[in-house]
Amino acid sequence: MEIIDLLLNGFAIAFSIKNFFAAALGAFLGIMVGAMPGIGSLAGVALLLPLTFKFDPTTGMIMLAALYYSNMYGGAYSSVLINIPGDTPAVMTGLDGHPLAKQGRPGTALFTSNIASFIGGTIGIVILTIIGPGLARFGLNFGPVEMAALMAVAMTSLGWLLGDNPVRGLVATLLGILLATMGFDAVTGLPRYDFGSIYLLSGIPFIPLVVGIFGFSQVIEMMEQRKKTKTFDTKKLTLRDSLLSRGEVKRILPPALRSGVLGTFIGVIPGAGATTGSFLSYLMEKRIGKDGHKLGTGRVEGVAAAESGNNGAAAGAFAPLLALGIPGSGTGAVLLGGLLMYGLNPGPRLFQTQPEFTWGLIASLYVANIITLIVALMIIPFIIKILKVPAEIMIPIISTICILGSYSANNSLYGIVIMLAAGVFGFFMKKFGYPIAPLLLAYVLAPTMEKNFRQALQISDGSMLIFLQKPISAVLVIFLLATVSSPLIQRIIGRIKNHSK
Amino acid sequence: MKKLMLVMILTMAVTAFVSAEGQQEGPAEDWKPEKTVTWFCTSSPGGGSSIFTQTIIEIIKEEGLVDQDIIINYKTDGGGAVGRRQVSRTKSNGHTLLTFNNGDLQPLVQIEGGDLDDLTPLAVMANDGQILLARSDSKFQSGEDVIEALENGERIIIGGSKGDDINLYEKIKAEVGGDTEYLVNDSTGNALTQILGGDIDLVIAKPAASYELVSSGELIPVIAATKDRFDEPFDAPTFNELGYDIELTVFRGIAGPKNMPQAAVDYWSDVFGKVVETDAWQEDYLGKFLLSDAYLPADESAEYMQEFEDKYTSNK
Repeated sequence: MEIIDLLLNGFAIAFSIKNFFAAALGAFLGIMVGAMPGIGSLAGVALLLPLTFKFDPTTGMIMLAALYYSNMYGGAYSSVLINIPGDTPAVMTGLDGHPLAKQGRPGTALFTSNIASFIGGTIGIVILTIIGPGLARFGLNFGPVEMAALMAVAMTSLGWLLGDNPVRGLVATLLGILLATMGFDAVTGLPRYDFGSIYLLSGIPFIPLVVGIFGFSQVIEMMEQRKKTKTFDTKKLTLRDSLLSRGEVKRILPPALRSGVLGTFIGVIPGAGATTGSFLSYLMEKRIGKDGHKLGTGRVEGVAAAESGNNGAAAGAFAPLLALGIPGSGTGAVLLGGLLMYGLNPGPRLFQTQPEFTWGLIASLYVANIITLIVALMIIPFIIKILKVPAEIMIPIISTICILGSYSANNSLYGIVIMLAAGVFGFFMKKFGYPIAPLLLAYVLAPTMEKNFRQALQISDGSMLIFLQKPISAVLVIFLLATVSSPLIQRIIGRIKNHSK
Repeated sequence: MKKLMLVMILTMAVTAFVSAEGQQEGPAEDWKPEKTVTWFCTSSPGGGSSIFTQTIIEIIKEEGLVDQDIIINYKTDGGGAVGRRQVSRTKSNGHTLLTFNNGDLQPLVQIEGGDLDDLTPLAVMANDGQILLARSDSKFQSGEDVIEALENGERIIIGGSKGDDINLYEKIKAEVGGDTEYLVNDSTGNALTQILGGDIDLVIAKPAASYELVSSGELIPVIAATKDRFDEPFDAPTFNELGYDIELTVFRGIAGPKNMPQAAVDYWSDVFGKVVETDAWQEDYLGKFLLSDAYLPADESAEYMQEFEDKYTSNK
């Protein structure tokens, strides 16, 4: 019962008018920064961190937490509205979110995304409250061997999951892996595929690639179709039409709850992160959801699964940060810096030595999550009006965002060149029916897979058997083999049945 | 009309965001930063370099030494080579800094001679030491256990960060031998999760990143690669005591791009000189994490780092 007492105490501190306004401001700024492609949560939190030092520790911490969360919310806005993901996890949100917006229901998509984010975040925090330190230990079970197996499962699923044609999905996945191998070898440090260019030596920069392949390719598309069709049905862009119907609420609840739990557990794995969280949640929904096969056509379930998984992972990432003092991401490191500044020493002894502050922080996370939701929902009616802007005006605006986003990533023209090239490439991929999402996700996940796979083989001295010797990876490998061979087996069984008739 | 307003507001918002990044400033006698300073760290969050960088930035903020914000950019690709290259290519205006230690002078692969030629050293802040840690429940409970296992050719997986940690590993392999394998990580933080998870047997670490885990007894120190023993909680025999001549000093420094204007070099050298004088630096960083004070201003640190580089390149 001590936990509950401490938590309630935390709430008593966290709820006050001042804290509310600090959190609301943090949430608003966080959403804006999160929605801007090219300015990820790391830069956002780092830029806004100094702002929080002007307040007392509790207020500052709540504001910081609100910032962190709202950044996750914000990524979905640009993904749904203009199909440029504000951050990598939002790639998954856009798969169903943007089609929804195209059907004239951007408000619904954003509403779903916010509610699901809230659910995922809440589940994450509740799990953190109950089994925080234990959770961090669970994450440690995922060493190089397990991570390599997990990534292999994710990669093989990409092609089957996204788009109608598995072969094309596979081609896109492999292209993504190929792009990711450019630059330096992560293990030996040798340059690969740099073609003698000093620019390519650092590989293809991520932000220009995303902005180009999603955003700029769309500009080309819009120019091509400008005369033909009106882009969006804009009649229903009011708040009332954005609200979810009772049926839709029922549809999004199961995926949001499931994904929140899954996402939280993914979040505690060192090095997995929110992208893997949202991706695996979407994958799970596609496999076990009621209308899983319809995902990708503008289903609220898809948006809910991706966003809830993403926010669950964001909350789960606090477990290793607090219980081991090891931040899982750059954003986490900045938060860790903030915690240290407020006199907190994250590590194995944290929950014993500084209970008031720890529980105060967890209470702050709850409060921040609620306030972020309110702010996020209030922005929707204003921000969806962006779709009323006709294509002639949207084209220059999106182009500007693309150019600025890709330039500011590294302050270099090279970013713009990559962005333009990725845009043209993305346009032709879409034109010939190759899905873009697998390419991008493979690009993000490939370095993690490569590094862990090679480390696993270093541990085993080159023997592949190690993947079957460890229980977690053995399960994953069996699942992987089943997934890959199931179409073949189904076909064989079908043949045999036909023959016997 | 409304549409037009919306468009204008959007465009303004976008420009406001970006213009903060790209302003140029004229040369000035009395230089000081006029926009957000970007500080590159080539190790991932949670490691020693990250703690070093964050500590300095916090002290600067606390003491109000720099008016502008300083943000950290983590660039770990290519064993840090990508980040170093990016800094060296920056058109210098004094708003780019880089965390730099000896390991960075010995990248995995030397692509174009020494990296130091493309950078301007700004300060050496401290000397750090390395130590081998084991899990408290592992079969390695003391330095003797480790040496014995190495001499008997038992297979041991060692993990750590890059740069100077690889250097120490190579040295152990050369001097003591053994059937070992080294897992390179982007920072000590990642390596620590691997040892906690039981994937590796020993980890090469420095006190800062592993402080909480060793203080709590989760990890135990086994052999130090320093001249003298560390204080508690990192008290363990040195390689020298165990009969092997392995002793490394790791300097922790800061550098800027190659053509940083002299006024900016002086400015930063002065700022870092003030940082090392604070109690926060002396006690909460050096004292707590067992580093030794080794501050050198810009000009002297350039010579000092050059000596290291000459030593490494002549060994190749």
